[in-house]
This record gives sequence, structure tokens and C-alpha cells, in this order.
Amino acid sequence: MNVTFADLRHVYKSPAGEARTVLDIARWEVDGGQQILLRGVSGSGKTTLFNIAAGLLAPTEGTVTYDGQKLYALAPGERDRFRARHTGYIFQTHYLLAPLTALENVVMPMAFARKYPAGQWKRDARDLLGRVGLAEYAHYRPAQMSTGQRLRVAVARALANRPDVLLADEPTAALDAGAAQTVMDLVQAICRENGASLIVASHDPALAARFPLAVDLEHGRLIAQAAEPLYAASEVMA
Amino acid sequence: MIYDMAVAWRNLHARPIQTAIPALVIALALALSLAVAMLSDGAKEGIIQASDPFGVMVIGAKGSSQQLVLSSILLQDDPIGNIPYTIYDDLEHDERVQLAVPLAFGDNVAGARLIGTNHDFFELRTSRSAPPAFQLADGRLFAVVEDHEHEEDAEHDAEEHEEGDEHHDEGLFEAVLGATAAKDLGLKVGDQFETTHGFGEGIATDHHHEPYTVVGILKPSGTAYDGAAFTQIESVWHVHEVDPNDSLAPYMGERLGASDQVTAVLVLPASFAGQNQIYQEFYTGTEAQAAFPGTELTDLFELIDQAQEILGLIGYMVLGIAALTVFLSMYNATVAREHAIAVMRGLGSSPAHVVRIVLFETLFVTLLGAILGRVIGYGAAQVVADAYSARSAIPVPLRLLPEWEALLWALPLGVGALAGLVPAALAYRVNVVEKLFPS
Repeated sequence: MNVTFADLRHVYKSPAGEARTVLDIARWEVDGGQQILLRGVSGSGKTTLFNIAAGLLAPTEGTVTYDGQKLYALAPGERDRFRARHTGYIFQTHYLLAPLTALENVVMPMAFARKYPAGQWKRDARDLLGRVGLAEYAHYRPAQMSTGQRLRVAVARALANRPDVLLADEPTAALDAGAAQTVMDLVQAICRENGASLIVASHDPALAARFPLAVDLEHGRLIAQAAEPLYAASEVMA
Repeated sequence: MIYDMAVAWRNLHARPIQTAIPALVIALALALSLAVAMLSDGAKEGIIQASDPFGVMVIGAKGSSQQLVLSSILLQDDPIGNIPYTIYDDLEHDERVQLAVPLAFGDNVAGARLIGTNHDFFELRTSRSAPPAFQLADGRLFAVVEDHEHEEDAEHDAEEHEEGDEHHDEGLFEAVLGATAAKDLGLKVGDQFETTHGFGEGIATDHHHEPYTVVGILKPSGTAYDGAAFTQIESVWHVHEVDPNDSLAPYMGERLGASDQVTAVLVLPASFAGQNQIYQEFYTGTEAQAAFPGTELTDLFELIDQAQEILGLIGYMVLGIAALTVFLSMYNATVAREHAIAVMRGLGSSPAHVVRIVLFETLFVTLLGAILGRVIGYGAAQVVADAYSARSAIPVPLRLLPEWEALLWALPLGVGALAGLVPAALAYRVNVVEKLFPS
């Protein structure tokens, strides 16, 4: 699924009432299956861009189009369902729901999207937990798991509906290098398998080598797009 | 929908105290209303059942007509006083009277009243075609011993008695026990017991020394008389022949079954017209009063209804408090979970989903309270009914109240839904971006 951001502008009002433009993108196209690293320091607009891409935050101006479907032309309820079905979101912190087990956390977006029959939710969720190495932890609650394990559950949850686009906001920020590598290997591999686009927002320079394409966001503007992909497109899709 | 319910249940499970307290408050509110309604209904039914066999009119000493009915039919109050035996005698020979039964109260057996009467008592029925209300389960009726002043009556009684030829003094202290009295006192046919003055264990401790012999035990009748002992009226008189040296003489002479006196007469008139005439005669007379149990019990039921109304209002007030408790609990829980709600929204949940989850949580709490309220309500009603029945021998038959059932489900669920509206609206309006990505 291709995603196009066009004439995108988002303005926040400061407490003093002063308008501040946090995002200003003339045009950006993300092709289906692409894996992109979105770089930028804190406050550069990465999270705002993700929220707009996910349909959580209506931009002040401009459009976000998924394969011809303008996201903000949809009614709020339809947009929620569209998000559930087509977009996966890995939050910076895991944001698992404490009362639910790992399995139930993974099932949750399936129940919201209803993309697949209810009969297969638990089976798919177990498979996903197996993929992230947590088959044994299906009935653990977040409080009973380590930070790395929680993040892997969050990855499984974001992939629950086999999204067309996966947004990962600083997914490795809370992990040590080894755990970060494991999680990123997993996320990238599953996205390749599913043909899903992956956009990872991070200011971790260690991630640059993993992506064929890196985009820099500075003060809300895409100021540079990597001219030379680190991998050939054919390798990305393989 | 099922998933929303499962998440709601999980959320409640994760905060057991905040779930249990509002559920318990709802349960107590419902239990109070339910127990009061059931006991009120059971008390009325029990009183009707307990007063059924006793005819339509009671004659007794002047005073409170309600006290007369309560003391002579439900054995619930002290008698007002005694009336001359001649009143009974006249009524018994009055052609307007189908049946007249004398009652003389005086002593008790470990709290069970000893009632002097004659065999006509055992002819009392709930209706003309019904079998006698008081029937022997074991043994025989007490013997009727000829009395010097009431020879004619004694002869009449003796004819009816299967052991009617036992005209000897030994028969004077024979007794028949009600079913509950026999059970409570642990007495069987052939056993003996002594009586004490007065109507309760605490009134007097002065023991009579003439032991009574149990000659019969009655089947349960569903009346207060199940907790009483019966003997011939002459026996009561004999025991209370006033000895001027007896410290209880004044009390005995006026209040207890002193000789030639009865405490009350149960009257079954032969006709409606006759009943009204008799009532008028006693109304204008000075010796005694006539009271209609039906009328007095209707007044009593009005008092019960008033008490039920007051307790019902208290129940509604507690339910109101319960609604506030549920509201506060759910509101606090929703505020505390705004972040979790934002996560759910971020993962594709529609606002409708989170509203449903919050409403399900509220409904589960109230449903839990409603179920628990029934258990507590039924349990409490049963315990109180049993305790009252054991103390008074008046049954309190409890039954399900269909007219209350629907209300007792609808009310808490309605209250729960209302209490959940504001938290649900709060959940609906959660700003996802603000909660997930605070700046």
C-alpha cells in the first residue's frame, strides 16, 4: 500500500497563543514494502508525523492518502477502523494494557479491526508471540515481564492485523544494543514477509545501517532524502 | 461485543477493592429492600394463616381491641384482663352462636403458654368444610373433669371425649402440647412438667407444684398455638385458687386465670345478623368487648405497610448512595485509565468500543451487586423469619415476589447505566494524542 503525504502542514498553538509550525512537508511518497528510517532529533516532528499518518491527529493542512483513499476524508469511526486494519503502531514505550495478558494484548487490535474471523484471533496471536520468542509468556501480564519482553509483545500487537504500514516510534530507545538488534531484526523480517511498509522513527545512529532508505526530518521539514539506498530495492522486497 | 465484555471484566478484576465496594453497597441496598418486602409479605401471610382457624369474633376484657386480638389469637401481647365465665356460658347457649371456645391464660411452661380451654377448641376449623385445625399427632386429648359449678358443661365435654368416663381428680392435670412446644420442651406423651405463673419465663418464678402429664401432642397447625400447651379450664382455675397468703394473689386474682373467669372467648356466630347483634350488645355493655380479628389485623397490616414504606425509602436512599459509589468508582477508574483508553484508541479502537467497555464495567458491578443483594436479601429474610417463627410460633412463609423481581433487576442496572454515563462520556472524549504523547 502506497502512502502519500501532500502539502502537509501542522501548526500548534503555544500556551501564549503563538502559532508554531511543527510539520511542513510538500510531498512525500512511501511505496508499499519500503523500509524507511525517519531520523530527527527530539522535537523535529517525527511523532507528529506518525500521529498524522496513523489518523490520530488531523493535520492543519494537506492530505494523507493510502492507495488513493484520503485518510482524513473518512469519518472518525471509519478512520479508527482504517487504522486498526491497515496501520500498526509501535509506541516508544510499550504501552501494554496492565490487566491483560500478553496474549490478550495481542488479540486486542484484532477485536477492534475485525479483519479476520474471531475464531482465529487467539491462534494468530499465539503464532505472533511465538515469532517474537514469547510463546511461553502468553499468559503473563506486563508487570511480570522484562522491558525487552514487553516491547516484543508490543511488536506482536502492532503486527496483529498484518498491517500494510507499520510505524515504529523509537522502538529501541529503552533497550540495550543486543535487545535492540533482536527487536529490529524481527520487525524488519516480519514486515518483509508481509510486504508491509515500515517507517521507524529514531535518532539512534546505530539503526542507519539497517535501512535502505533514511529520511531526515528537521524542524518539521524533510530536508534530505538519502540519495543512495543502502540496499537495492529488490533486496528490500526479497 | 464479547471482547469488550471480556476486557471490561478483566479491568474490574484488576481493581478488586474498587469493584467490590460499590457492588457491596448495591447489594446491601437491594438486600434491605428485598428482605423488608419479603418479611412484610411473609408476616402478613403468616398472620392470616395463624388467625384463620379462630372464628370471626373474640370476646374479652374492655380495653384495646387490637391487644385483645393479638393476645388471644397470636399470643403476642399480655391479655387485658379476665371476664366472668358466665359470659362464655351465655354465649355457648346463645342460639346466635354456632361455636364458643373459652380461653384461660395463666401460666407458662418454660415460656410456652398453658391455655385452659375445653374440647370445643379442637373443633376450630379454617372453614366449615375444612378438617379441624388442631389435630392430634400422638396420644389423646386431656380429660375433662366435672366441675362443681359447671357440671353441665363438663358433662357435655365428657360426652365428646373418647376417654370421657375418666371423671377423677387425676385427670385434672393432663395436658396436650402444640407441635412446637413439644419439640422445644423436649416432651413426649407420658412425660410430666411443672408450670410457673405468668406468660413468660421472666415474669414470675413461682412454680406450681402440681405436675402436668402430657397425654397428647398436636400436629403443626401453622398458628401461634403450636407453641402452647392445653389443659382443661378447670385445671387453670384449680391452680389459681387464690390463697390470701400468696404474694402473687393480687396479680393472680386480676390478671391470671382465676376461678370462674376466662381471658377470652372465641366466637363463631351462626349468622351475619347474629354476629352484628352480639357485637352491638358487647359494644353497649360494660363487662366485655367484642373484636373482629379481621378488622384488627387489617389495621395491623396497615402498620406493617407503613413500616415497609419507611424501610423501603431507606432502601432507595441506600441505593442512591450506591449509585454515587458506583459513579465515583467508575469515574476515578476512567480518569486513572485515560492513558490505557488512549492506547486502545491508538490501536484502532473506536470511541464506541471504549464507551461500551466502561458501560459494561458499570453494568457488571451493578449486576454483581444485584446478584449478591439477592443472596444477602433472601438469606437475611430467611434468618429473620426463622428467628421470629421460633420465638412466636407464628409462621412467616417467604415466597418470591414476582412484582419485586423485575424492579430489583431493572433498578440497579438502570442506576448502573446512569452512573456509567459520565465516565463513558469521559472515555469517549479522551484526547489520544495528548495522553499518548504528552508534550
